[in-house]
Amino acid sequence: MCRPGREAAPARRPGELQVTTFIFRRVLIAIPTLIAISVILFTILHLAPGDPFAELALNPDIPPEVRLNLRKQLGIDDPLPVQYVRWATQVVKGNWGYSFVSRVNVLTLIRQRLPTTLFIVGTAYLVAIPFAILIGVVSAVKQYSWIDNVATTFAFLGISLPSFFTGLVFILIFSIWLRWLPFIYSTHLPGSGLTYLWELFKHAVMPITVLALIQMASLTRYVRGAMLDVIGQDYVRTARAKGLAELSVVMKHAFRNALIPVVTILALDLPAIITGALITEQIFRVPGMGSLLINSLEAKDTPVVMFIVFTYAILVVLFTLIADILYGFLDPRIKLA
Amino acid sequence: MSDWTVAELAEQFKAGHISRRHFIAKMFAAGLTMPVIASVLAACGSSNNGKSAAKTGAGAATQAASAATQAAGGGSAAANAATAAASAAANAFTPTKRGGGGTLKLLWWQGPTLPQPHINNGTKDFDASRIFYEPLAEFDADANLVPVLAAEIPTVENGAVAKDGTSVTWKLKQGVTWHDGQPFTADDVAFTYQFIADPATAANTAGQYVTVKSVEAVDPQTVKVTFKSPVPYWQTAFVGANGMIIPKHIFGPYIGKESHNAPNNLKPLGTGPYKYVDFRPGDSLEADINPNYHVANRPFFDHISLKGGGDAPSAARAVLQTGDYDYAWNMQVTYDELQGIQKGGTGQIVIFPGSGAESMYFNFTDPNKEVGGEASSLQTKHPFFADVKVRQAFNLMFDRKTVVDQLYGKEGQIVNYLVYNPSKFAPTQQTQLTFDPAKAGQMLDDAGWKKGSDGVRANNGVKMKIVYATSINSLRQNEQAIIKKTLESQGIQVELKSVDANIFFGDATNPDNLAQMHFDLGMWTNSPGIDPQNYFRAFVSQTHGQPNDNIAQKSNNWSGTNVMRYINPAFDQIWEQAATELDAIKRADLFKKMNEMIAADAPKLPLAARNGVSVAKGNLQGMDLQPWASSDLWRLAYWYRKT
Repeated sequence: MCRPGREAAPARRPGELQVTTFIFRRVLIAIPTLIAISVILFTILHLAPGDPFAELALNPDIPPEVRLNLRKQLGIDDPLPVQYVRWATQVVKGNWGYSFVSRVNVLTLIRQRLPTTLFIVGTAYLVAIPFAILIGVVSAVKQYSWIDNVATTFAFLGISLPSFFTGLVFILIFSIWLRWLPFIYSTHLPGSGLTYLWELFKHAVMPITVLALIQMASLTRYVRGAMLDVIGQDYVRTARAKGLAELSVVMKHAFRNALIPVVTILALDLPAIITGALITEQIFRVPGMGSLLINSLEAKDTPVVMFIVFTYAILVVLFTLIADILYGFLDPRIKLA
Repeated sequence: MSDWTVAELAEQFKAGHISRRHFIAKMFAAGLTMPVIASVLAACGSSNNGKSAAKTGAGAATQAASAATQAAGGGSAAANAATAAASAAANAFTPTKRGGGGTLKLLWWQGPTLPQPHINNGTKDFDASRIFYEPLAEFDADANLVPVLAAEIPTVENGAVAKDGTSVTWKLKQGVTWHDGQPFTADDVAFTYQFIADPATAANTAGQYVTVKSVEAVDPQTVKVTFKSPVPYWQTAFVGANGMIIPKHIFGPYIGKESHNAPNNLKPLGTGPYKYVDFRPGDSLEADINPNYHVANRPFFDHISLKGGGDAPSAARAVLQTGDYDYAWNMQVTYDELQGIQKGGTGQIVIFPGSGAESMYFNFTDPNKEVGGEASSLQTKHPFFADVKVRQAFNLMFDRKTVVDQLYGKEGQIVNYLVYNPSKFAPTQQTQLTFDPAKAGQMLDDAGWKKGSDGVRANNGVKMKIVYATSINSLRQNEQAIIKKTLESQGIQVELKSVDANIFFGDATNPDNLAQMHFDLGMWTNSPGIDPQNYFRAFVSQTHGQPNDNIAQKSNNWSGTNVMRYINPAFDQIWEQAATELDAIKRADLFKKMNEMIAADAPKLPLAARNGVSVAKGNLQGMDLQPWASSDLWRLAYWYRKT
């Protein structure tokens, strides 16, 4: 019997409510995590050796009073909790402080360096991903063929050869022997339009290639592994049995499902962009976040190091959350809890 | 440089009277660079080539504006040759217009972070500042003053230097403007002093102005510097690296505590040959030519592009092999490696003398006995280093020749005294340092330290064990290995220690810092600079009126400069004398005496003197690199490219 009258309100899909609660709960957990991370970071940095003013100490002409004055001004010798509270209260207001070394606003420094890093490391990722997917898929579909063997060997090489080795080999071949490419990255390139782009290409191609090779190597292995997992499944065999074209089977059925773990791995990898590629940046003198981090660590430039590492921590927490949500989204079998 | 000198040397060399090494050393002293010397040597084949070799030599002397002088002997002759070479080089290029040279690309493998002349982070920042700012005067290769922003050099004769040593009056150059067009006046000089002298500014150049009482602008073109008491060495204020003048109308509001907030700290604005375009800390610096520079027809280059970061060997490659850059500084690379990189290319390795030496420091107290929680306390005495005979024995065991030959090559030399440059402060009759481990063993035996049954020397149950410390640096670790070998062969047990450079040379409250001396024998480099008064202070025990107040100890947070805990009242006396002696010649004699006293008493001994090394493209000229300059870039306005 139908009951006339009002209709029941459309029910919220269970998935939506779950996701919102999920996010909310994760953010709640994230806040104390991040606070704990900042405390640990700050303490370790404080305990680490190094001195922003080491060179001044060597100079016989600088009276000790001047040195002590400088340290007092920047609050370097204050007790640890005092320094931490000072830093934390400023950060909450959005003030990340000034570099001890260059007295520049930390955010200005970051703004100078971040675009370069995003360009080099980001482009490397953008180059690596399509190649890795292509090679990984082909190598999984044609398992144990010569293509697979070549790809696997290449992947092993890429993972085991460190970036400084590849980088130096490239420099030796392309800069010193062939004189084709400059090996010192310059942010001030002459000309405009095509000339500028050509110069940019010449400067950037080596660091990007070095990074792309390394990323490609591990990504190929992931894609291949994920594809192999999926290709062995029953539903793929069913799709083939139904008479679908091989390409359709591979791309529409197998690949899409294989993509799920790959996408989540990529999401987890993304925060690494912000620290750039430490070693590659040093070799090619790319003025990015990685070299900023290293130089600041060596000089014990606390405000800068805290910003970079803490932001990295925030991004890791954020992207882990995104990866989890994405995974739940893409794979209907997963229920977020 | 006269034609016959090279010819004469070449004759002697061909005849076998002098060795190849001696010949090369003398050629260096005359101001020739390695490629030129190589061609001279090649030309030394036949007897007729004496004259042609000389012609090449003279031509090369005018071309090479860098001088590498040998320390012991050859001092004044080399200085004359250097002056001749320098002035010849200066005369060789007479431009008729400003600019036209294109871009000069510099590579500083430690990138500048703060190009402000008075609040910065060390040498690289002084270098970057020197592109934009200028002092009143600079020292040249012969340690004589040359005017930059001053109209002339003050002397006693022209009345500018007061006879009683209490003041010096500078006349400023006319028609100089700041990069923004404002006129440069004496007010700017007086303001610069105010800026430096304010303790809240925490200027790292302040040490050079401690003797100054006041600086006043007598009139817009005249500045008078008055000292607290008569000073023999008045060439401190506004001279060299610590003397760059900053504009009052820009930095005026940022004195004292506000000094670190000045926006122009990172956007330099001075009187120099180049104007600020762009600066990224630690990465790059761009500058354009100053069209109103106060020297006619200078500078040559239109644009400066300075890149920072990376390491020394790859910087050498970028200059010598790929030619991507024109000049790279401070080549901390072994000479063999540099030569290998240079081979086949058209670059030049420029070597110039320094004033410092890698030295060995003895601890006069016992680092293993703690008194009141303090190691190396003045209450203790070192079991064997307190005995001068033991120290002199160790002196005989330092294998200096191997260190220089194996590690430094052309970049180093053996020196007999700690202060050897300028040569006027080194004793004329020099006691040569020798290497004689057998004699050293004998001396140790005589002093009561005989080898025990385990091969280690001992006296009354105390073994001769030492901790030998330095900073982490592969060159230094190699030096340690060489020294340790000899010491152990003579029955001394050696434990090597190496500390991160940031800690070793940094904050003195860290126990691994050199000032706390948790070791028996230390090794590092110090440079006297052009006036060794401050340098010799490190051997004085009392400077502020309290006994032993200059000794590094817990009560002064190890800020005293006498880290060896060396107490010699006779030396203190002579040092005080030199601080107030106004007669330059008498003062030089006092420094010679100090050199001799230290050499005899041996609290600190020179191991090897390190020369300055840079690399440049073959056609780059006019750098005039020398140890007394404020920076490698002190003559940037006069650099040019030979076509």
